[in-house]
Amino acid sequence: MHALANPNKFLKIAKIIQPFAIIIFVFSIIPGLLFALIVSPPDYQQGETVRIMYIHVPSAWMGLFSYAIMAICSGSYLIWRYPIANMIARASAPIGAIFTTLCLLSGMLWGEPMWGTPWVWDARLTSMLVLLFLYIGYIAIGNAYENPEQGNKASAILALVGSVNLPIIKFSVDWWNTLHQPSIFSMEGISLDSSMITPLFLMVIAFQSYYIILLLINVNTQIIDSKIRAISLRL
Amino acid sequence: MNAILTIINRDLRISFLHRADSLLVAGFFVITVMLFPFGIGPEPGLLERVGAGIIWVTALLATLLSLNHLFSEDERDGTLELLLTSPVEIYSIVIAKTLSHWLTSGLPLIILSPLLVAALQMPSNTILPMIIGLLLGTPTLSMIGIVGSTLTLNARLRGILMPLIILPLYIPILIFGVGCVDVESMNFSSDRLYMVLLGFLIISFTLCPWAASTALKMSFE
Amino acid sequence: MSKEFTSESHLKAYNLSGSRSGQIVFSNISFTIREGQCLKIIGPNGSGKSTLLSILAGLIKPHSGNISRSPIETNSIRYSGHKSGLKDALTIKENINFWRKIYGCNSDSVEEVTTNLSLQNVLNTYTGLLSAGVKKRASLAIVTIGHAPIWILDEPYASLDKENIKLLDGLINIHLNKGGIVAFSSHQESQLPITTSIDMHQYTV
Repeated sequence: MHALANPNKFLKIAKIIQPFAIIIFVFSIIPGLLFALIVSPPDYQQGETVRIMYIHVPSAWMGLFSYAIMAICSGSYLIWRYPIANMIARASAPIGAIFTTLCLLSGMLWGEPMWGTPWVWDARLTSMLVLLFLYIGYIAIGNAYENPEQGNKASAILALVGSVNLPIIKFSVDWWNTLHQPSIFSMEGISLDSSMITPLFLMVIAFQSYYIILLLINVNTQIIDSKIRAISLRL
Repeated sequence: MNAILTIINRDLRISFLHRADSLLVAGFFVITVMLFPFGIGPEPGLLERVGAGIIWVTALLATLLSLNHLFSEDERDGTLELLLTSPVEIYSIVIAKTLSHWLTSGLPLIILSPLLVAALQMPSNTILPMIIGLLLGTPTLSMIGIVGSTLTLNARLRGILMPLIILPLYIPILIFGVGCVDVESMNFSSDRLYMVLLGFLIISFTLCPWAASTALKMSFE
Repeated sequence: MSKEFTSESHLKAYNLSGSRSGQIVFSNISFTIREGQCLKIIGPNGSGKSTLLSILAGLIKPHSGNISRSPIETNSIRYSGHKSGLKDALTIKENINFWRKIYGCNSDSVEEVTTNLSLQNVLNTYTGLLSAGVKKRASLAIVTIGHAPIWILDEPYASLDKENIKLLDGLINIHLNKGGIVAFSSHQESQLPITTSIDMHQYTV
């Protein structure tokens, strides 16, 4: 892993991975959407609207996954000071935030037909909302400093503090939810038939590879950016 | 240890000299809670039902207010940088500041809470869980607040950035603090919830001073 | 009060470069000063004098290079920066007392420390009411607490009139004769015995 710390090595590896990621993306999104929207059966309870799940669940997963990457890279940055670790973390943040927003929006679209109301204070939706705020805080603090180094370190510390808080927030919101007994609003009311797992799996792979594509582009840009800055300082 | 007491002492003395500032925070707490009956109507059942939430949310906001000047004063007059070059460890500085913050903001809130419980016409068996909940919760609020305060020391738009960062982290304490009161009014025992709040306190005591010390060090580089 | 510093002191910098707000302001500074020696830093505003002094005081880390300091204990350094380090809400006496406790100094009394800088008359005045010159003298009084061997002073002459400059020079000379080290920056000519002079202009990036 430490070998990746050299930006040039990272760029080389990224160049190799990128085409693979694109191929995987194309070959998972097309059958994924096909299965999700057309081939897989409608839920016996919810009808066609269950298809939103194929967007909602993978984006929830990616929202959490991006935050995990952000936290791990922030930790590496604080311990070993590799600039690339910070770049990956900063790149993950907006991608993760958008996935989380997608999760919330798709949840709202799902909620309207399922519960008759677009927003509901379900434990998981609420936790996702808080996760979105954690992302926004991370992005905001990273950009709030004149000195970019300070911004990097501040956001890294915040990412770590947030990652500790994430399970605590989930735990708290779960408990809060049971206390206020909105039993009709549970998301667990989906029986996962095997015919639903395949498209779900494909969509997760599609989202994951899309994340990698965006991440690599973003980190690539950051590395080139820092090289330009280094050269212009010497002129 | 001595250094911690010295710093707390000095901060308390200054707070005493600037009594009006501390009273302001307490005053904000009381006035804001008093606004709610005007906003949502004085029906006893309604106020009683949401009272715990009102008091706790206002407590969070009052804590946020008092965090604003926590390190910025010391940064402005140079005492912070002088402390950082002194033999006192950064860790001790953070602990001292956290304690003096809690003594000047958390403690007054705890003392005022019975008054507000009565004002919102909540049943009298909720006074004790409110006090214990605030007692266990406000130190955690101070500790998380210190992290937010040190992380944003030199940042632009600090006034908006700090709440944005801190408030999501406050949510678990809010949930369980209100929970302590609500379960009591439902005649369940809040013992387990006190344990959860205590757990939060212990976790933040382990992590927050480290995070705040690191943030302080980095704000001078 | 004429105690000699018992251990040998030195302050060494090797290939030091410093940055401010992400930009490197100086590079390649090296020097060695030993007990009894005095370092003066000169240069235009913005050339990094304060940054260099902050690095020497241990407040910030250098961008590259290293410093070596003896004695190593953090209690062996006293720093006086641009800001006063005094709380406006407290009296001079309370402020000095606070720093005495912080530096763990039980020997010098407040009176001893403040008399050296002619502050006897303002001991019980609230710091916020005093002039810049008096506050500067109080900040410098903090530096003398506890007899630390290394003094790092950023523009110590600022706001001081001729008499008080002489007073300060007297204190610094006593400190140097006892084997102490002083590193300071100033725009003015100084009567102190300067061992090494650093012109920031030569090291600007």
